[in-house]
Amino acid sequence: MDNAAALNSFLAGVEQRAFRMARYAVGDIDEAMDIVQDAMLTLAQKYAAKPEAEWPPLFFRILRNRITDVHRRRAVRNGIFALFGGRRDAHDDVDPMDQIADGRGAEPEFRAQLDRTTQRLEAAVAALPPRQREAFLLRVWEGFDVATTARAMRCSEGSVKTHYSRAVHTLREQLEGDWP
Amino acid sequence: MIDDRRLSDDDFVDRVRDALDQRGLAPEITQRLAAARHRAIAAIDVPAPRAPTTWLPASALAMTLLVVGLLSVTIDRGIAPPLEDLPQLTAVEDMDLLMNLEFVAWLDSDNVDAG
Repeated sequence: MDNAAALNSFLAGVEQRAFRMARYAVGDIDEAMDIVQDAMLTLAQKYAAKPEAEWPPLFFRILRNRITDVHRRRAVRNGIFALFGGRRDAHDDVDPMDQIADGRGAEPEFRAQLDRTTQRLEAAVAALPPRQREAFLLRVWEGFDVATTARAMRCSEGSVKTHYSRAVHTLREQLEGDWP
Repeated sequence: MIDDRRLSDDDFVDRVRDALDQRGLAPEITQRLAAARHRAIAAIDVPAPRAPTTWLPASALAMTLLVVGLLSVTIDRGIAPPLEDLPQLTAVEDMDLLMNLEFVAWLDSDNVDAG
């Protein structure tokens, strides 16, 4: 498999989860899309020649940096608007979880229950502190081991374990007795 | 309904993963993601444009080295005047001297003395 085909395969495998991670973090479809697109482009232009094994942590590190950039821009923008009387973004009042479609075909009653449960789960994941959410999703969703997660998050393996453990604890507390 | 307190952390995490995986994205989103991916793949061999701050110092250094190199080569080969004549050349008031450098050089040579 040549480099382009291998990278295409890798990106196709992670793009949807990456989008949802970005969406949990920024709560906006278009900004999440821009983040993922930028991360893909950066990986392709700068790191395509790297060994394939290095792509996953590199990609999620880039993704994380882009998410951080969006938060910084928002902080600056909100600071400026607060200075001049304040104006909230249009999407501040929209629950981002309401805009995610469920592609699963199921019986209406079960599906409704699943929707409620999954919505609670996604809301709980989105509400986690950023580092906890990142560690949790990289470990659980991407299947990264502790060392790879640490490389993607640019932190120590001990920090990854702590963030992950706290995230699991928080989610269990919030989702107690809510599984179908 | 199952009390998740009975689950181990690993079982809990497995169920969270399953629940998240079951949640699909709208077709419009998946299409946009695929389009973004294709654009990224097409850009593999196209280097990203660099900010001017990254290449300006390098190009200035290269240009300086080029000028110094050319000067040293031309001086060594006698094409350019020696550096000790530089003040005179740069302070020349008589343009005729500049126009007749070969004549001045011949005048200064031994041939004239011999004649």
